[in-house]
Amino acid sequence: MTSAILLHPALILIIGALLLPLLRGAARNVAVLAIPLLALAALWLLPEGRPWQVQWLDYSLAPLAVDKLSRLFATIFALMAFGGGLFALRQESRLEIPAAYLYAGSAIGVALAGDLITVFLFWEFMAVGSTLVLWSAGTPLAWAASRRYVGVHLAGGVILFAGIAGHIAQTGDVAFTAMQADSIAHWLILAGFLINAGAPPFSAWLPDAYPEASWSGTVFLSAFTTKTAVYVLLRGFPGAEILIWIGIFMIFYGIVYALLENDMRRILAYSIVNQVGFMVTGIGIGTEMALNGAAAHAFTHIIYKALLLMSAGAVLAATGRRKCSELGGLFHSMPLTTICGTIGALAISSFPLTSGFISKSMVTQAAIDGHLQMVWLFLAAASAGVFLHAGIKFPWFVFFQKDSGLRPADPPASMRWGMILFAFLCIGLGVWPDPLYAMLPYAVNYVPYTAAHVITQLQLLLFSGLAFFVMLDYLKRTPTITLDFDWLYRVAGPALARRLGGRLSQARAGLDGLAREGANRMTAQIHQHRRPDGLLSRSWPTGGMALWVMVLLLANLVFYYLG
Amino acid sequence: MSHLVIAPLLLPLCAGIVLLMLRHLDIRLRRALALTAVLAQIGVAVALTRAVADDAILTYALGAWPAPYGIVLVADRLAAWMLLITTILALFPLWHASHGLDTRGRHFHVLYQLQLFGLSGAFLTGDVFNLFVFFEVLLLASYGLVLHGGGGERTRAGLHYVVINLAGSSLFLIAVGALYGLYGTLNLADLARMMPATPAENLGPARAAGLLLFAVFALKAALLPLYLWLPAAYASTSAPVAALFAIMTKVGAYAILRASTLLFGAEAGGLAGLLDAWLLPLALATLVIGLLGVLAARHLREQAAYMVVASVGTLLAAFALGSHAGLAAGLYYLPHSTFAAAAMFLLAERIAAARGAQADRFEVGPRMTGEYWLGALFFCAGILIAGLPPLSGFIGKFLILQAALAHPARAWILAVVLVGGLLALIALARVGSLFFLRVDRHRDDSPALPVPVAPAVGLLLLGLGLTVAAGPVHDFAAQIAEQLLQPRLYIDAVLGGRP
Repeated sequence: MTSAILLHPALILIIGALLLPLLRGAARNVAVLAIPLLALAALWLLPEGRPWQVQWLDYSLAPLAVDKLSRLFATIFALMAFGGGLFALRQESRLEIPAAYLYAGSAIGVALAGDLITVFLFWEFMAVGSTLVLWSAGTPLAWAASRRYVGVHLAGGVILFAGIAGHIAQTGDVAFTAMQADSIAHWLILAGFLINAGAPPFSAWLPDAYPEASWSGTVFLSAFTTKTAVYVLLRGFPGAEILIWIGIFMIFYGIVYALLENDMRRILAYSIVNQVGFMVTGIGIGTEMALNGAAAHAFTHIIYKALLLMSAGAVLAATGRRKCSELGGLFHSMPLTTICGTIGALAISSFPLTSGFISKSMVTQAAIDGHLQMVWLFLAAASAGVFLHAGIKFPWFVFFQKDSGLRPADPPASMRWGMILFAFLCIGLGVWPDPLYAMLPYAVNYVPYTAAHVITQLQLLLFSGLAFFVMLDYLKRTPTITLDFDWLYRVAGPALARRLGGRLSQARAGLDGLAREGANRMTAQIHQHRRPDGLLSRSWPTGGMALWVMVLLLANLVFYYLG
Repeated sequence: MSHLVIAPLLLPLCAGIVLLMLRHLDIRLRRALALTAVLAQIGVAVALTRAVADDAILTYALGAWPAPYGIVLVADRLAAWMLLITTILALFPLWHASHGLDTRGRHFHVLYQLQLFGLSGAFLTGDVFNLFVFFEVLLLASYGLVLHGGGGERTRAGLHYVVINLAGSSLFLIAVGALYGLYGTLNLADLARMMPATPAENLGPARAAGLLLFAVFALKAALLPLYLWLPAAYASTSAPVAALFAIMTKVGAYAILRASTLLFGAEAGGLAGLLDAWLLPLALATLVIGLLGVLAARHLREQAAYMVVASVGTLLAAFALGSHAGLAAGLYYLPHSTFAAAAMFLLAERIAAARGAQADRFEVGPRMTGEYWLGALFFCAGILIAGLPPLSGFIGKFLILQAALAHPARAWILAVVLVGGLLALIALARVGSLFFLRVDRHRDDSPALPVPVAPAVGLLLLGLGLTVAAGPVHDFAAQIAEQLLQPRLYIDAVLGGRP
């Protein structure tokens, strides 16, 4: 058991994160790269099963439960931590990499958790780690965004907590197994998971917060929260039909808002929602092929989305600009960044020979196999949409298009190598998908490279590419804001609260005034009657007293006669 | 008749008297003496807890006068548990105060020991009248402690505290008089024995007396709407005193728990469940109000004071469930919330000292010396209080929610406790980011006085201990709850099984 604790990959990353701030110079750089690799090695040394179980209160917890699905997600999280750490090696903020490793370690912790209490524990750690990553950007905008971000995530955590408590009370069992959305507790758990996945109506937290992180912080943020949510949905709610429609909504939400957006990293953030939509749809379809597809797509998506955000981060670090309308023509001086960004863009559009092709087509295939024509139609249309907003729009406006006159150089070596590593993985997995297929939870008998698949995909892409350039004038971005659901809690809510607060303060001030006035009047009266010559403490002349006694006696006499 | 039962009273009383007589002694010796006395009290409390851990309820008849005629002290598991928590807590503020606060006024150590004397007495006494007496003792000592160190703001808030508690005491006396008039006894066990047989014509006055008693306890516990004295008093007094006072509200909670299980429990006939209708709604409302205060606070000590209010709400909501699981959850939550709140008060002073002119107000301030460690400590205290996993706050809240699921009003309890936790988290996240991240890097004020950080760390470690030892602690809490739900045991132990 002790060896199991030592080898827990999540703890390796988290403890590493806590030790990192103590290191300086070369030792720190080595540690940044070594910690994720150690975690990865530990992960693959673990046998399948539940090597570590603890008794806690009345429950038996399994903080370490390894099977194919959890290993797949833990692997990509560790890989991502490595790539991100490499890319962020020159980040000035000393908080960011430790926070990111805490975040990555917690994501691995969720992936390896065998019971709901451990899931929740790491779930909250993740919220903390990701908020710290946001904070480490250190700008006022990031600070404001992080406050909204942490609010949404803590609320999600609370909903999840309520669901888990209810689940345990109903079943008496804490094991994390597949559930049906059939009771309030399970609906709450599902809602908690979906909030982290960026599902409607709370999708807006993602494009609101992620682009405010530092040039390297966004790379980390893009990978863990949403994909952990995909993992827990895969494990907890496979085949829940509602997920199909939620997923399709997310796909189109991402496309529409990304097309309207001007900020390059916000475009990519919207496209995270869109890509997670594909995975959620796959989980909703729920066949073995679909679940495999969702898992594989999460794996490849982490890599190419990180690659895209790395290239965007390199541009941001070099130019300090983030708006599409202020960028362009960077391919002159940033050839490597352009190439890597384009590879990422091709992968996200599922171009043949890239990693996106071999994973996304599994989800579409599952829709065909399940005779879900409508779903298939949506997915196909969405594929074209993805190519429009992320595949062409991002590289075209940032690297090509008009010449903005900017001539920044390619980024420093650590950032270059981070991008090269992930670009290599994008192509590698696309050309040779078998290692990935072997890691998937169910046996794969799917061949991506058939003539029909390739031709369909190319047709789709070429026509949408044509559409892009034909309608280029409409797609040119202007510096505008697009309203989203978050308007409700960013503008309407606070405005309402201010008005209510104002009223309440007025009412309270009024009450205070009344109370004070009453108290003053009372003290004044007491004072008036009891001061040295007041009515009640003055010394009365005896004659006066005698007079009053006589009056009373007379009154008595009168009453006596009347009675 | 074991003398162990009266030891927790004699120790602080003697220590207080000795410290008073030796008031011209070197301050370092007096500090050592006071700390030793508290350590000895912890030892006694541990011994007492061990002695009552099996089913025994120890009683001590003063002057060997048998109950209900004489004065009797009763140590059951609940009393021992409260005593243990109090004495352990008391060590840390005293340690903190020994770094200089105790010289900024007179008789700090004497008052501190007398405060402990009053607290121990309140937990151990077996009759209502002595409960009143010990309440007065601890209040008298607390008046001195609240005002210790002086200052305009402190005196104003302290005066408020004194006046409201005097009013509470007179109400207490009226309630005690009414009970004596009705039953001819004030011994708790004797009252519990006679209450089920209350004649119908006396039920009205008895209920009135019971509710009056509840009002007094609610005032001590800072239950809505009687909490208004707390935030100002706690926020403006010195940090160690505020930290010690984290237990003061729990005295009220203890009295409510004792009354609702022993006097108004299920077997109390016409008076059964007298407090139930009031306790749960008031507890939840207190929680909400406390959290609104947490959100609206303007400086950290005020925020910590509102957290005390909120924690009382949570605690009494757990007690109000009335079930075995609810009581056990509450009794686990009680030490956690006490230690966490005390740690927050001590940390707040350290942070205020490190921020120079900004003190602990929620404004952008200078960079603090040692901000890394302070930030880590604040973070730990925050997740401890807000109930984020994995620390004891989470376990306590989890246990309470588990217990609440069996209650008819579960939707309300769940909603309030969970949303409350969320609000606390958001408030703390806001404060943490403001203090440690949005700093004005161009200013560099050096701290005014070195405030020790070790006592706060010690309290946080206690929270960690409650997390690691959650199993055994919760088991003991469950045993306490079991004993509380069988008032017959208490009555028999005190009255020796006489009819």
